[in-house]
Amino acid sequence: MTRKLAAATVIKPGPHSLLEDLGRCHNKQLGLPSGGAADIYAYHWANKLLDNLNTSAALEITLGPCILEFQEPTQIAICGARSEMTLVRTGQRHSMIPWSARKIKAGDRVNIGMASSGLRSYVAIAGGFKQPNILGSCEPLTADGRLQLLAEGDQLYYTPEAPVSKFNRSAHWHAIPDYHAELVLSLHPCYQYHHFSAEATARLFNATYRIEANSNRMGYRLRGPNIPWKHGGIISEGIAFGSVQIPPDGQPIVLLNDRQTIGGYPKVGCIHASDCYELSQRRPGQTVRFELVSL
Amino acid sequence: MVYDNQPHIERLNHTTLLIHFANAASEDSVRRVADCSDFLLKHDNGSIVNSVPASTSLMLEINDHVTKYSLAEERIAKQLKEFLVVATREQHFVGIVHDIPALYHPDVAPDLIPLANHHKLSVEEIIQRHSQVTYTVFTIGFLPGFAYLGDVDEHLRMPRQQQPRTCVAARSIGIAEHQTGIYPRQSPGGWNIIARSAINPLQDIGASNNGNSLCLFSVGDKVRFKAVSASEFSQQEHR
Repeated sequence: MTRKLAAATVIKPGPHSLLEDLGRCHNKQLGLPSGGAADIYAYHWANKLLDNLNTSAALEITLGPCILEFQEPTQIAICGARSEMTLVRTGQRHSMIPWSARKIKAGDRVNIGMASSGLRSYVAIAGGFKQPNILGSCEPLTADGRLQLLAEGDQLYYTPEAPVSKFNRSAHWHAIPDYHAELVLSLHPCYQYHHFSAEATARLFNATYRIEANSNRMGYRLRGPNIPWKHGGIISEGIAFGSVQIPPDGQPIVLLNDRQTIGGYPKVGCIHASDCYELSQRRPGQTVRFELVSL
Repeated sequence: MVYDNQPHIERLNHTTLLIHFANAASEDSVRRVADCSDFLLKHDNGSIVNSVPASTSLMLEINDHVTKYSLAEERIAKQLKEFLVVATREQHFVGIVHDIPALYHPDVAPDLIPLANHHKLSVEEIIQRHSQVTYTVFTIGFLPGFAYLGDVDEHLRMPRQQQPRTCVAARSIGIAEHQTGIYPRQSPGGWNIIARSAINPLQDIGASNNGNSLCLFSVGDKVRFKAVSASEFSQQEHR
């Protein structure tokens, strides 16, 4: 007997919301990026609070606001950006505690407000959202490989009988990052690092960079002292997660989940993954610095 | 320094390594990288999440939930040595040859006449020079299903446009420097468009769960363009 799925209806999708998990596999021979949740740390916490598998599909909401209405009882947890979150039940509004599990009754509406600190929230649900996999990931794509964002009226499916925790667990406040703190990005030197001049790399590690408005899941564009490269184009090669690319204008770009698979611009190295997750929670206007660290 | 017989492994981040094969791209280096990718994937124990072959290097992403990175790198280094022994002994793999029907006509190719004028050649000569070459697939990237094919006849080479077009039609065939390629979807682009392909190298991504069937081309394959008439072309066109 197949279990019947329940639906959460998207009353308001927000500007950039979609299901995410750890990303695809065996996708790069196609030239398709890996995808996956931009902030794996918050994504993992949301699933962990519900005892979900660490690969369970969760809803990634960038900026918000987002409103979901649940058909059947379940339990959810929302971790990541700070925003006003309200549970509306039979006309009554209840505020929701961030980085905590919360039991949901049939008909409940969850309002996630615009992020005031940080950028991305992860809504996990008991048992994970149910979504057909494309190359091993729940991330929805159009026929030609673009991201399929959530739209008003869409339905997100889940198993209403998935086991829920008896208690509504919370992350200890110690575990919750401060997204206002200036971020220092640990750089592992590799790729063309040794072909940059000593002056260029010294400049990189002494400077403060500002995050530009056109930063997104593909990469974070930084503005600050430019990093000179005197050697022309390089042979195209695979681009690892966290690569710091130096294009002709000398302004560094940190490449993230939706980056192109290969590229011909020089790179000074790669940022540690945990710093990339934090970076994805920083907003345009915030500043970062680089620090040389080996793996 | 040429790494030809001693490819070296460079660690890029917590879960990714890069195998350097050569300092310059050639048909030989492309084939070697493609062979090596096939070999390592065939002997993989589930620790390789992704293999990204390029014309002189191979990038591998490791699943560190399955295998500790250091063990995976050790294993790959060992297999790389085995591969080098096998590769010198056996014949190089011969990639599949793809014949692509193409319509070379200004209605679908806005740069066909400008390119002909630039090189002081007739359109017929452009068509002949482009379609008589058997190209090698060097790398796949930039867009899902976009294969960089080389090398274009030197009489046809042209740099990318100064101002990329905001909208290049899907299946457009373009030239940029020594490379040619097919746009798998409508996209902004700076390549010089000289024809349109009847075949889209990228299949519907949502339709199949089998990654192998989604992109027609693999690194190391060969591609030939065959000039067809407008009526033949509309018969052969897919989406």
